[in-house]
Order: sequence, then structure tokens, then C-alpha cells
Amino acid sequence: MSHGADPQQGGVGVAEPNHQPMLEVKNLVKHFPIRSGVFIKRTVGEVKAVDGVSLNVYRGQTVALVGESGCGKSTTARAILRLLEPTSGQVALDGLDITALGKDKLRKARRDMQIVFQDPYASLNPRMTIRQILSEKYDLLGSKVTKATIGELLDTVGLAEEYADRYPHEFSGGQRQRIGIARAIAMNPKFIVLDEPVSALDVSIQAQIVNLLEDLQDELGLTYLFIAHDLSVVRHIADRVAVMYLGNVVEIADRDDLFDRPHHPYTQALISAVPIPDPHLERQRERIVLRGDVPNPANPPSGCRFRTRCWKFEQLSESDARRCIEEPPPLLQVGAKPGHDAACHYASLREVVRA
Amino acid sequence: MSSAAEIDLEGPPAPLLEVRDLRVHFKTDYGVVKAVDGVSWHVNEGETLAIVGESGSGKSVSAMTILGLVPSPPATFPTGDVFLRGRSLLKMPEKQQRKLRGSQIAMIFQDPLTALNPVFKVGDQIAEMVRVHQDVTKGVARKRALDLLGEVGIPNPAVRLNQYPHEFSGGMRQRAMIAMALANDPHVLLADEPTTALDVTVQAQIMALLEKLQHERNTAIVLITHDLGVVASHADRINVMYAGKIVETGTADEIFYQPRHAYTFGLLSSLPRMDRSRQERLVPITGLPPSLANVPRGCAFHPRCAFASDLCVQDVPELRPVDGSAAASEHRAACVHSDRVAMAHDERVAQ
Repeated sequence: MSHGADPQQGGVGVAEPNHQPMLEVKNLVKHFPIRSGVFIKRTVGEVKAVDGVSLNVYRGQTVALVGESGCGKSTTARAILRLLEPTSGQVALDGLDITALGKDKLRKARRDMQIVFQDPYASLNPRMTIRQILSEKYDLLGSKVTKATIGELLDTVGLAEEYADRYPHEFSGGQRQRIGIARAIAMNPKFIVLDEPVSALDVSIQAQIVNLLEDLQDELGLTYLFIAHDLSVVRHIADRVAVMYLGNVVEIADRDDLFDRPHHPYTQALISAVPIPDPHLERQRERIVLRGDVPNPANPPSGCRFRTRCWKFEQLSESDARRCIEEPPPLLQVGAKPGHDAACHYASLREVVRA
Repeated sequence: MSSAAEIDLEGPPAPLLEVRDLRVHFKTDYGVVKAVDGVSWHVNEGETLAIVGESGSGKSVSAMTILGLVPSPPATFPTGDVFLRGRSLLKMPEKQQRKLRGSQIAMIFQDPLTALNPVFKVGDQIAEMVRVHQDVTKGVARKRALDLLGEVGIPNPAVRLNQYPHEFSGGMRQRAMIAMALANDPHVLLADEPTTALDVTVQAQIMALLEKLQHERNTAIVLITHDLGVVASHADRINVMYAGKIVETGTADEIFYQPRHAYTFGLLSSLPRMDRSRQERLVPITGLPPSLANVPRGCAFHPRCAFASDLCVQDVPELRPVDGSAAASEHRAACVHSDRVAMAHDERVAQ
């Protein structure tokens, strides 16, 4: 299903049991060991960057992963692509188990799964021309470049062919991001991770890149995992949204359900913190301001990991609050129909965009 | 009070801080870069003035010039002056300027990790700020630093005082920097993208803190940012900058609900909006911001402008009062097609 589906249907991206998902992530875990000692390195702890993430992305769909810095959204994406070796869990792309592949087969599989990085200044080799950067992709993944290939590819992302023999420093941020996108779509992949692709760009350029990504999705039938912290962009581009906190998905729902009917207190705080470019609305809005910062993922709080900053936890009676301290909340259905899950013992609807 | 008390702040009524026809040019191999090209604005006590623009629009350079942070050479200042309560800052002897910087006017930078010195304890850096401007003992300055850390909402200030910047999280560092900026009770706070490096949840904390402090001290805040959401929730008045010039100025309501410059209108239209029904497509501004060494003739925005005509290529449009605005209004725009922009905006709103 495409992003262009009528939002009135509400069912955009709801689990489609008849289809096999393009990307199926089951219980993905990525722990980083903390080592100490000079000569003999001992593991003294673990940073639980990703701690059991499951999600499905259907063909042609965009699923967004959102959360604060350090919540594990980028690590999740990198573990899915095996740019980082997952500690445990399964990832299947179009039915193929990525986690089980050996080196050669993994490289072949990379044709189908690509990534666009956040920083267009750091992700292009400054010593290579655009033609070299793009051709390298074909060489590495064992495909032929014809004379027309690079020109066509640049044309697809809205750049003129004569740019091909220039170096990255000759381009603006938005143009570089177009080159990064060209590199990702070069081999006709099925699935692309977009890791904060517009965060580093100027406001007037962001909309250009967002539109380009949507056009490419329509034309090429691409499936996106979109990582972002800008929730207004997420609401525009995503069909489905997963909110992460300290390595866990705390709420997952179709776009409109998540923004109009958020159930997890963290999702509610996150949405309410986004300023809306409308002075009257902003003066009326009641903002949920969270206290403090994200706790250290090497030593997360017991029970619900969000409880140390949770505005709802503060309002609970002592006996109710004990449950949050002792029992990690499972991800359970909260809406009237399946597809909207939240991990909170006391999940309930709170309207936050306009209220 | 600070040793800068000798500067008379009780003088005749004048804006607290005023920038008049400021130009900041840089000589480079590619020609003269006109980073700021004839900019005038003012800010009063307790008021928040936002300066909005994209990278390279000159919004940061104008603020840094006020604090004398733009080295000359390479910069030249062909025209312009900055007045604090009617007294010219740039014409003052350097020694006197130094006294004012940090005590009357302080700045908060975008990236607190590079703005704080990594090899000194946070408490010592704040205490130094106090001692530079006030004749107090080390002990008093330290006590003041402790109070300031508490005031900006840092838990366990006594412990935090003895920590280094790397031991602070991003939000805590920004709070420490705010504490440092407030050390001498400045009348004007220049905040250059104070929350851009932070998560939205922490951004909300920091902006709430700035508002609270402004309320208590009646500080004037100059908020430099590209984030129109932050501007909508915090600014009283707004200057929109493009290619080194102010292209539109007015109250927050005027800018958001009655934009009269094609660039302002373009910016507002290009934003995805969480509060409205989802658009099928975003409406971007086409093209790229110009190089400041080679600004287009006439209106600098015309190559990207949907309303542009031959008129726009001829002369640089001046900031003129907006048609139909109230007599007291300071709403001004530098666009020859203000009326067409107004119509286009009304059409958009009606949709």
C-alpha cells in the first residue's frame, strides 16, 4: 500500500495477514559489551541498545521509528541491515532470513536493502567524483554500468547528468542528499533505511527531499524504514509509526492512530513537545514537559523503563505505582482494532496535538 | 550589581538594544560575501524577538557582531551601529565594550559542548564569568555559580559544580551555558539556535526555562533559529532574513497569519503540519539559497519565487509598511508582490 492512500480509510498499513511482510523483524537484540581493564579486557556490563524489537513492514509501506537520541532507533536499523551484527533475533527480507546469511550471500542480499545516511557531508567520499561514487556501487555488487546508467540515475533524483564528474564539495546539502538517495536506489533495492535523511537540511530544502522520496516510492514500489526525530515530517511520510524508548518499542500504530489517539504516556509527551507553527494554537496548548534526560541504557530502571520520567507514574497511588517498578509492561493492543499496541500498564488515550 | 553599572541604563527612553543599518562583509577569493547587508532592528525589555532564516541568511553573524565576535579582518563593517539604551556600542573603546559583553549582553550558543571549555570544571567556568565582571572573592563567585546551577534546574548542583562538561548530558550542558549567560544578570540574551542540538522533549524543558527566567528578570531575548515551531510558541516579534537582509518583520501573529513576503509565505507553506489534515504533497520552495558572494540582482529571492516578475529583477525592494495594517503596526515587507502573496495566503487558508 502506498503512502498516498486515503487517510480516511484509517486502515493504511494495518497488519495485512494475507500478505507476507517485506521486512519482518522478530525480537531483535543488540547489546554492546562494556569492557574494562588494560591488558586483560573483561566485560563488566552491557549497553542494551536494542532489547527485543519486533516489527513488520509491508511492501510499498513506510514505517517510521521515532524516539529521542540514544533510544536505539539507529542501532535497530543498522542491526536490521547487519551493518552491526545483531546479538540475537531474526530479520527476514521478502522471506529471506538475513540473520543466517554468510558473507557472500549477505553481500548479494545487500542489493535489495540499502541505506541513506543522515549527514550528506560525511557519507560521500570527498575524493571521488559522483560518477565514481555511483559506479562503485555496481562494481561492488557485481553489476554492469552502461554509458547511460549514471545519467539516468541522476535524472531520477532530479540532478542533471553534467554533475556526474564533479566532487561532493561542489554540491549543497540538499543536492548531496539527492546523490545519497541515487546511490541507495542504484541497484533497484526492495527496501531502504532512511536514517534521518532530512534532519541536516534547511527548511526550504526538506520538503523537496521528502517529495522526492515519496515519488521514488510510488515509481519504484520501495519499502522504507524511516528513522527520524522530527514528528511533523514523520506524520507526513509514514504509514505506520513505532515509538522507541531505551531499546524497546513502547507504542506502535498506524500514523493517524498514533498522532490522533496516542496511548503511551511517552508518545503523548513526545508529540506534545513538538512546537506547531501556529502562535494561537501554541498559546493554548498544554505541553507535557518531561523531567530530566533518558537514563543510562547500561543500567535501565527496573520494570517500566520510562517510569523515572513518566508524568503518569507521578500521579499513581503507591500500590499502582509498584506495578510499574516491578513488572515490565508488555506491548499489548490498546485500540478498538488490532494494529495499535502500547507497552504501558495504565495506557489510556490523551489528545495532545490540539489540546 | 555588576561593575558595568557605570553605563547609564536610566537614560532617555530608547530601545534596550538597537541595531541600525548593520553591514558585515567578508573579503574572500570569490568576491565580497555580504553576510549581513543593511539590517536594522530593536528589542525591548521582557520581549522576545526572533530572527528566522536558513543557513547563510546572516542571522547568526548579526548577533555575533553585537558581541564583537566577528574578527576584522576578514570582516569589514561598511555601515551600521549597535546601540544599548541609545549608546553606541561599536564606537565605544574596546575596554568599555568588554565590560558590557557578558554583563549587559550575554549569548547562548547552539552547541554547548564546543562552547564550554572541556578542561575546566563547569562550576569554575561559571565562577570565572562572575569574577570577570564583578569584584568578588572566589568563594562568593563559587556560591553564585552554585545558586545559578540550581536556578536553571540542574539537580545536585553541589556535585555538578565539580564536574567537567563531558560528564553532562546535552540538555544539562545547555542549562549550564544558560547559567553562565545569566551570571551577571544581563539585560539582553542572544540565543543562537539554543535548542537545535537537543531532542524535542529537552527542547521543551529549555525553552520553558528561558521563558521563566525572562519573566522573572524582564530580560530581552533575541532568539535566532530556523525552527518556525519554536518561533510560533515563543516570539513576540519576528524578523525573517534572506540572503543578508530582513525581508519581512512584524508581530508573530502578523508573520504567521498575514505573511506578505513571498519567501515567508513559501517557508510557511513548505512545512508539514501536525495539526492539520495531512497534505498529499508538501509544497517546497524550488531551487537553492543563493551564494552570498553572488546574490541575484534585484530581490535576492526572485530566482526561487513563484510570484517573480520583471519588476523583481530591477531594484532591490525596500522594507515598506504592509497595506491595510493598523497605523501602530510595524509590519513591513520587502516584496513588490505583497498583494498577490496576500491573496495566495488567503486561498491556502481557505482550503
